[in-house]
Amino acid sequence: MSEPVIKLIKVKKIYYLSKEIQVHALRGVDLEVDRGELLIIMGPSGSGKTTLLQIMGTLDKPTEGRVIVDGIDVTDFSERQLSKLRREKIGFVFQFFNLIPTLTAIENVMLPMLLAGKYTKDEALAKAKLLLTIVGLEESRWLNVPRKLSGGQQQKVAIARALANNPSYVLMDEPTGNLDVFSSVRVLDTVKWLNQFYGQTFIIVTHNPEVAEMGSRIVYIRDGKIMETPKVLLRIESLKLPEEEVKERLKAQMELLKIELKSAKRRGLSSEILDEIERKVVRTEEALREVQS
Amino acid sequence: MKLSQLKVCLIYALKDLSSRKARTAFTILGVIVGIAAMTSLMTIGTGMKVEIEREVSELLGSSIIVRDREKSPMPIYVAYVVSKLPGVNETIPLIVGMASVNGIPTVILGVPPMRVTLYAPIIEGNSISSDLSYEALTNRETAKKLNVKVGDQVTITTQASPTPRVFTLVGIVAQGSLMQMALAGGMPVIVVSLRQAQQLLNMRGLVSMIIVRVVSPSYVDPVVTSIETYYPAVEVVTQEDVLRTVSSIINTINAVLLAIASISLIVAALGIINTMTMTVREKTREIGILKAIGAERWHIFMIFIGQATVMGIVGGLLGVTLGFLSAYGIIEHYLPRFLRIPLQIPFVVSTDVAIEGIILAIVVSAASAFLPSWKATNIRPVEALRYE
Repeated sequence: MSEPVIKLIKVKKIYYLSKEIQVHALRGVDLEVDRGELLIIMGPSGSGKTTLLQIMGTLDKPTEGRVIVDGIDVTDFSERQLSKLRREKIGFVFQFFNLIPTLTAIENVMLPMLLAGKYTKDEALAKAKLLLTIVGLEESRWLNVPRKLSGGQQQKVAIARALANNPSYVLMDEPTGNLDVFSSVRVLDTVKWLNQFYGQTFIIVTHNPEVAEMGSRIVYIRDGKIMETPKVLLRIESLKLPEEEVKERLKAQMELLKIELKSAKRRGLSSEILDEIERKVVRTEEALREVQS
Repeated sequence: MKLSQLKVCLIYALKDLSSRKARTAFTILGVIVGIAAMTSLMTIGTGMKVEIEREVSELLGSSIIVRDREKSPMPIYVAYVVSKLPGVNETIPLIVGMASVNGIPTVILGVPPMRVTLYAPIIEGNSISSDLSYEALTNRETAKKLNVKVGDQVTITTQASPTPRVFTLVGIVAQGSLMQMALAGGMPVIVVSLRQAQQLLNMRGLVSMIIVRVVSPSYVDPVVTSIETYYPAVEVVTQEDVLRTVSSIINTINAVLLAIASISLIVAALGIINTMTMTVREKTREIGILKAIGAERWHIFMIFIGQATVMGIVGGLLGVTLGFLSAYGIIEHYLPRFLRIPLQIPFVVSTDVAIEGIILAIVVSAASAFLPSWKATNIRPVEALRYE
């Protein structure tokens, strides 16, 4: 548990636009993100925050330095290994939602699970439904294709998709950049809730101070360097979601954990992982009792 | 590569195809046209070959045609001598010449009255009663052209015998045998007895050709050898010779037709290349998303190759169906009416042709999509996601 989910060591990224012109997007970044954090990365345009996100998402490789995910150095991984890594450990949420336009909401959530091949089709379907419940998408929207969903709804689907394979961390690139105020609040509430109740690690790149407010830690990036890392936990105001909604989400979470347990047993995973899931079940049960009493 | 993942990719491909119905339909249409052209030409070509070979063997069977090398008349006693050769069943002398019937140029045929049916079956009236009678037969088309019917009289003149002679039309023979085509081409035909033809054409004691029937096919070669030894001036044509010539002509025609049909298949391939290239370009961003959420290169490759393969399967199935339908239409309606080919070409739905057509459609589609699909796998997620 003490292991950081992702650790960057002296990461540099240089883009060669031509022989003479080089752009130093990152000039030696050291960063550690612990499990359960809700890290905000802030910085003006051109500060290198998108490059940082891409390197943390293994979509791009650093020119120098190491990238360590869950204690494993993935810097020199092959393309194929990186695909597997992204599939299993990293969730992505983009500013422009980036759902697959030909697939329904539920199919978009199922896709990463089916590509990973860890769940049967039925399990993936059940899990997708529960994840959509947890992110708070109305059931009547589940069979809609993205273009029939509002921005906020699409972003919820994107969050559910990012969570599909129980990633170690979820990367978000301006998740509210394309949303109206009301939808932004709903999406941020969902993120906050997932972080608090689910212990899900989030790394959010933004230049929106409202988004930054909810973070447990904020780092600033400027000219390819991290300016300050005050490892101070910010005051987190406790979330006030309607009781009914919390109950519904917790129930979905219980169901989800049951599927997880079944799938983990079927795949013959280690008892450590099984215990971990069991612990989550107990925690969820407690939370559920608390809400009901 | 897991089967379940392959299935996911194929389902994805199908959903993608159905989201672009018009483009998919037009691309498939290209494949349909190409495969249909191939299938129908192969069906017609094979049918034509089978039918012509059947006609030739039915007509000649274990027969041999004997004629003068220079195509000039030869003495009838040759027929008599040949009939005495061992293994020869019978000899039928024939005369072919030009005449004018009621003023219209006509091919005149002299046949022994007993052997008229060798030329064609009689479908109306009677046969010629004897060698000496002034009786004639013709086919429907000639009768129509001459504006005569059974029982009417016709006047025949030739260069050798300009004095008009009056014959009675006693019967109508069926039209469209290969023999008729071979002897008269598309010209009007009148059939009279061998003796009358000899008089009309001033060929007393002479014949144009002799058909020799042997007891069994094994006698063909020895009889041919004997005839060639006795009469070096004659030309001997066997069924095998005719078949060889006919087959090589038909094969050449078929090859040319298939080459033309393959052009439409090339166009179909270009259509697929075009569609897939456009699709990949439009989906740059989507490919980036797929890679970001963990799709591997082969997943992407299968999604695009899968689309082309599905279009190939659908295009192949429909193309083969359309090909058989149009072959049926051409054989039943177009050929008899416009080309006046007097052949009853059999319409055969060959499973070989069908399977070949479908496989060809799939192979051409998949091969055409290979390069665009490969390019899709090379798209880098970072660049694709920047795409807006």
